[in-house]
Amino acid sequence: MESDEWTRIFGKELRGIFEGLEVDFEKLQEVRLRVGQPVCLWYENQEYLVGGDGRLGQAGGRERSDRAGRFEPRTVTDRELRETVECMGNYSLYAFEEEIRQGFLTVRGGHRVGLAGKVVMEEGRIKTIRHISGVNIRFAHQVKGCGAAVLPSLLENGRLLHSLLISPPRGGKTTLLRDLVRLLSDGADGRPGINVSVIDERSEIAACCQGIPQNDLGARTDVLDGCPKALGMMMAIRALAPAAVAVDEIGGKKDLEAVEYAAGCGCSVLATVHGSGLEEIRRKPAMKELIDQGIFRRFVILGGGERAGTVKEVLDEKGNLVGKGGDGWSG
Amino acid sequence: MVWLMVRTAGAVLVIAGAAGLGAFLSSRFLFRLRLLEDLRKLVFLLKGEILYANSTLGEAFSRAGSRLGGRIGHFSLQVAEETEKQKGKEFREIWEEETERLSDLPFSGEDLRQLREFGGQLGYLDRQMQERTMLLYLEQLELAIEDLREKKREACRLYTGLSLAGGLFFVIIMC
Repeated sequence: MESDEWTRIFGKELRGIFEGLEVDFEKLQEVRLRVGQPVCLWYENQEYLVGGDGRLGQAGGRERSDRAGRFEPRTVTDRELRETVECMGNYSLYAFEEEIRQGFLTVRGGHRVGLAGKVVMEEGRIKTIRHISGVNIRFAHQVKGCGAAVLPSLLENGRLLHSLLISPPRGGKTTLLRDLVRLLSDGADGRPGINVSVIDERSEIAACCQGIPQNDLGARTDVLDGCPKALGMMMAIRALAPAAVAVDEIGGKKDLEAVEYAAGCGCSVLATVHGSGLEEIRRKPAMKELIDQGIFRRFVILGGGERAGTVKEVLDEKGNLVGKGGDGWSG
Repeated sequence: MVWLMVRTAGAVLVIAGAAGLGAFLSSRFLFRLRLLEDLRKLVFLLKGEILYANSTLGEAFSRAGSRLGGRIGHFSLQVAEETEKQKGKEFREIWEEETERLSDLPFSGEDLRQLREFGGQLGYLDRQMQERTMLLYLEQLELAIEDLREKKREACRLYTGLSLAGGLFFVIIMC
């Protein structure tokens, strides 16, 4: 999605408000819409309320612009939110049934939309979410070059070691993963490019549109879009003969079994997981097993600073420090 | 003599015009039948795209339209294009605007009403609902097509015959 096209995911009236804002899309992180509540957005690591006249104000009353007049936050109506959700789903929410069951949609551009509302259950499992009362849109940004500082510490004799990127939500792990894939695929600094298979279950890494990646993932990258991670890893290894497999947010038992399988097939694994550090993810039983087996040889810990993408440290399988990253890229 | 020739020529022209009118009305009847058959094909293609490939409406109309071709294929491509533009309109609005453009075609009022209703319900709820909506519309199309096929020979003969008879009657009166 082009930077000037981000407003297209909103319904007609909300779109008009966002089009009137003077914001740089690259610095826009998140928009939150809740029925009957003000429109909130995260911009340059700050939370702002959006005024009906296109101004940004803060909850405490401070304003971003110096325009005259009292700042009036714009509230979201039920109809506006419903229109927006329809628009986000390309008028085809039926095509996102599986994602909605998991509480999110991925819209064009790879932006993830979290949903809140009435959860409809059937035989003990979530059937769908109705009466959507809140959405949280997290904008995906491709930051080319953000992985360049980290990549050398993930290589040994030019070969990628099985690596796990660890960060809390909004820490920048998907952005880093995306760039590492691109760097590995294209090759750089005299290192030849390798074939990389990306298992993009939530369409966030490649942001595929009708199967074609909208983000630059390099010349030697194949994407299995919308494919469950565990199945995708097996499929990719059998069918696409990759030198490396990249997956986002592993955690389920099946995912970890697939990682184990991939690692045993001579294929490097590049994965991400939610967590604030190595000790925290060790507390997850299945993950602990995988770490104790020594499958992952590098752990990239993100989230040390206020800015997304701050790499705290890069550790080896024994917990020794092998590298440090930059100061982050967003904000 | 000249007067007789002029009258004969006039009579021939009137009869030819009447025959032409008959042929035109028959061809419109047949064209309507062909359009309804094309709409049925479109719904079959959409059904495949939505139920098998889990395509969004934009993707489904785009693929179905390019496969189908003709006026209905073009209509489908237009719906896809407008949907993909993401102007913030509801799908129902897009559908109604595009259906409006079909008013120059020999559809009956009922055909257009059913078509409008079909589009108005697309995209609502889950895949099962899409299937039911398409099946309902297919049923309506089947009935209309069957009815037209039954009347096809009779109607074409009637249009041609009545037009010719009208022409002859006019000539007799004028003479």
